[in-house]
Amino acid sequence: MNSSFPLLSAMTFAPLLGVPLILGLREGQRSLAKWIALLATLPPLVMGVVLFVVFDRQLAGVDSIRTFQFVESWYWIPSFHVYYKLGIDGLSLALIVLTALLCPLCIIASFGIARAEKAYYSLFLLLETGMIGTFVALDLVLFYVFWELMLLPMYFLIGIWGGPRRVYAAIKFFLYTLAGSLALLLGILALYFASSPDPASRTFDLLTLVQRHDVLASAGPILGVFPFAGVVWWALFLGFAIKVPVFPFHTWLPDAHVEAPTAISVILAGVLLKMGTYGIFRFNLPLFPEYSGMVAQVMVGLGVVNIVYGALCAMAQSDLKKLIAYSSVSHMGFVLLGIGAMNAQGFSGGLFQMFNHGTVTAMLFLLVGVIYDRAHHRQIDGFGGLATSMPRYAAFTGFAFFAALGLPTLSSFVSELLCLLGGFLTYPLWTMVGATGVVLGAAYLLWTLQRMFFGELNEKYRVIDDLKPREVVTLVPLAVIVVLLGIQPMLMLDTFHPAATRLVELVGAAMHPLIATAP
Amino acid sequence: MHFPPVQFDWIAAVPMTLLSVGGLGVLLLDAKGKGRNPLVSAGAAAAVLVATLLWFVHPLVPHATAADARSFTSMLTVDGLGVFVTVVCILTGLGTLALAPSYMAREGVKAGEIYPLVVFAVAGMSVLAMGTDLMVLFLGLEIMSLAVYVLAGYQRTVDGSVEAALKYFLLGAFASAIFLYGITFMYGAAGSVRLDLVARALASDNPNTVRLAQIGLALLLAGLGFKIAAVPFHLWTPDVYQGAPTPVTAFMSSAVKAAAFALALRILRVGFGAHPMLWTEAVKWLAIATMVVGNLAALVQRDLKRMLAYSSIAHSGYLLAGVAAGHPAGTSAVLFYLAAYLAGNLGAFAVLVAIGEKGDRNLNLDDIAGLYKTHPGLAFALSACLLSLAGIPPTAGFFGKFLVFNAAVKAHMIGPAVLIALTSALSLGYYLTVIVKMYMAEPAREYITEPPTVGVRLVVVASVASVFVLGILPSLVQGLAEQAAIPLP
Repeated sequence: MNSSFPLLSAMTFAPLLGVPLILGLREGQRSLAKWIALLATLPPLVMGVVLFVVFDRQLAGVDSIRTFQFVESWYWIPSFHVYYKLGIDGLSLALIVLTALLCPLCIIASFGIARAEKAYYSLFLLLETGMIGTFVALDLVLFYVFWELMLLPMYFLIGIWGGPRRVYAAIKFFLYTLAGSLALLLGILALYFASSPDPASRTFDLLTLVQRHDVLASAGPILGVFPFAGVVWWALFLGFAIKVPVFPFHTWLPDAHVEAPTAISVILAGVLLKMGTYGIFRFNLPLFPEYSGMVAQVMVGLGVVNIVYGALCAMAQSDLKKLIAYSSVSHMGFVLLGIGAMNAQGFSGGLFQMFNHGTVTAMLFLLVGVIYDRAHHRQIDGFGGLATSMPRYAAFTGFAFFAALGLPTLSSFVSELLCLLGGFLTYPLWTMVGATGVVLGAAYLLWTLQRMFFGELNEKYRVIDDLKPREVVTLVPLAVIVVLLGIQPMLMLDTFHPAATRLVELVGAAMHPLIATAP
Repeated sequence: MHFPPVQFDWIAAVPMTLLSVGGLGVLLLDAKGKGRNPLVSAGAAAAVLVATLLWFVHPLVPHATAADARSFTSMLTVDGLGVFVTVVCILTGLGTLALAPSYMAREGVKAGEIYPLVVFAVAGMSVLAMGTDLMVLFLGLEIMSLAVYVLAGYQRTVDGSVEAALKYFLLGAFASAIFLYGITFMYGAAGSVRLDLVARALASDNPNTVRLAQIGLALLLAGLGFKIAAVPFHLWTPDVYQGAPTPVTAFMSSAVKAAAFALALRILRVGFGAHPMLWTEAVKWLAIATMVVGNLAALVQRDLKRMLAYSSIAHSGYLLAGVAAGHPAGTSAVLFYLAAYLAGNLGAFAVLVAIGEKGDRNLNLDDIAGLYKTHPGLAFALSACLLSLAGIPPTAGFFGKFLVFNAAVKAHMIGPAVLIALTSALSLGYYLTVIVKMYMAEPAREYITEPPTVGVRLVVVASVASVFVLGILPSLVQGLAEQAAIPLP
């Protein structure tokens, strides 16, 4: 269904409308900033719901513009064949909905910000534009512009409104991501130059490049020695892996998460990490199907390392926020495992896991923010018996923890199961090791639950505010989605299915025929 | 010796004439008012520049932008390159004129000759941009340089300014002499100083001609290298940029550089366009050295003016890479880059004018700590300009670097291309430090600066707007740059 209304552009740039309004506020009206920001994040949410409802679940997307939906295309920089081209398919729909959903919740969660609100909310809205733009861009230059557009607000949001070590964390985040961006940029430029021997028909258009993937596969080696596909694949992968983050590029993540303000941690874990795996789905696989098949096992290996290493690190943390940060590393490993599996179960599972991790981890970080606002520390052992003094908080935390460890009937169970299932079909040994991550996850989460909420009540927290209505409002929508998708996963899964099947067809040619079977 | 009859085509000479006569008028006006009213002089000078600008852009003006309106027996040409660079120089001149009154008032300098001097310098630049004869070009170089020497030493009671002027003058005079020496070799080789005749003489492939021309070209490149602050001819730059009055530094780093690059493009393309093997390697290595040294040295600076001086060197490196990449992608990339660099650089210096205190104090990294708390607008403007200089999308600098990179790859210069990307990433090290200080450090001191004047605000707003407009819609200027590059041989 392609309407003539530029829905994706409207969705991408709607938040920006709030920025001049916020910046125009006078000193005495600063408290209005949050309401304007909330209002500015609502249109994308409404449009996100519309997209989700009217999205045609039969069209595959991935490699052909005809099966993309809501496509917009204008010439942007004619002399370099750069287009302003937007469109969505099964790979991006869920992530756009996720972004549009999390942003208003994060604004509500930020209502407590009391310092330079105008700047905070303006940067946040700019960040939302960058995030949605990244997921809808179908031109490499446009994608890169949105990708970088996200980086700067994030850097300021951590660096100005963060915790005590915010400057260190912000710079570390920036340098890591910048290194990734640089690799990505070089990869993009290499793709452009290899897209055609004739300068007049070179292109940055992703789908044209995907159509020419055989040209790319046979492009001449870089500097005469390095095989083109290998170099560019790894350049792109490096750019995305830092974002995911894939071990060993994950060290920026705990710092950034711990120092970032609550809402920014939510965005960071809920949306930004997904951009890494989204990039692998969107670029690495369709552009280099053959090479992706060749290095599938490496991705599976990295995914398993992420799962197990992240879980072990999480278990060793005494700081609740750091624990959840490491649990993200672990859960994103499942996505990599799903990608490396190279079959429909794995791909669907990976895509679903991205969405589910987004909702679940958002709840977790929101809950950490709640306790930090009250106790001003996050040491797990500094609490105890909170279930008696904060029953509602304990209930929500317990629910979120069970969602995170993949309890059946909650959404993560389905996606992790699909990832493991897909992985098992292709690499049973690796997957068995990865599956231990589920056990480890249960271990650290239950152990934390026990230390914080049960046992002897810490007298300091005998009298402590339970969840306020504003906080409940941020948690309930996420909880509802987690339950709903746990019971009725097909609501979401059927948006992934055609895209996942098409991806399998693309890479499947290079793989064992047994693997390339749809469920 | 035979001289062909000279054709007089005054239309082509209108811009220079306007600028020179207008400059004299401003000088007289200033003398009449005994320099007591700087705003009148600045306004008059701006009017002269705007009149010249209108001459170029007004559609009713006859063949002002015709591609090959050669005149004065091929000594001047009003082509795309010339007009593009002259417009860049005029815009920089306007910015300088807007910044100068408040700066001079703060520093307690009364004299008003700075305004006509800016006009004279722009006149020299227009000659440099449109000349096609080595002697005419030399004339333009000297008209520009003499004005800029005086501008650099304008605060004659301040040690730094005097030192800057003296260094700039001595080394500049030396460079001019080398340049002139190069011209004599050219004359020896070709029997003419007209670039098209030099090219024709080279086409004969006479080994003696080529050898003489090669020596001459080496000398010309050394003279040029001084003006554009290419490594290893850059040693004067930090001291001069730091010592000169800030508006003048802005002028030198944007306009003088643009004019010098027009000169380089003109000599290399028109004179030696058919013989790239004589200069491509040399320019490539100059570019590499300039990118690396400029960026590395900028990393360790604490003074913002000095940091921007090294950053200006680094940008010369990127521009040189564009020159080395050849035609036409490289040429149009250089032109776009000059415009993009003008936006970011002028804006950054305008903010320095706004936040500096008497004697250019308060321009250290520690002094701008927490600037965003007291001056959020200026902090944002400086951040935007620095990010553009660093080449982060969606700013003008990103597309400038992208175009140069693209040209370098097209010319199979993979090494310099990768170096452009790597050194740009490195440059974030120092640009970002400034932003970190402004936004994330606590204010170390009280700011006593007055709110910026209208002129300064105008420059800041125009620069930031251009940074984003050129970043989001690069085609606006890139198309012009491409058109300007095509007619060159």
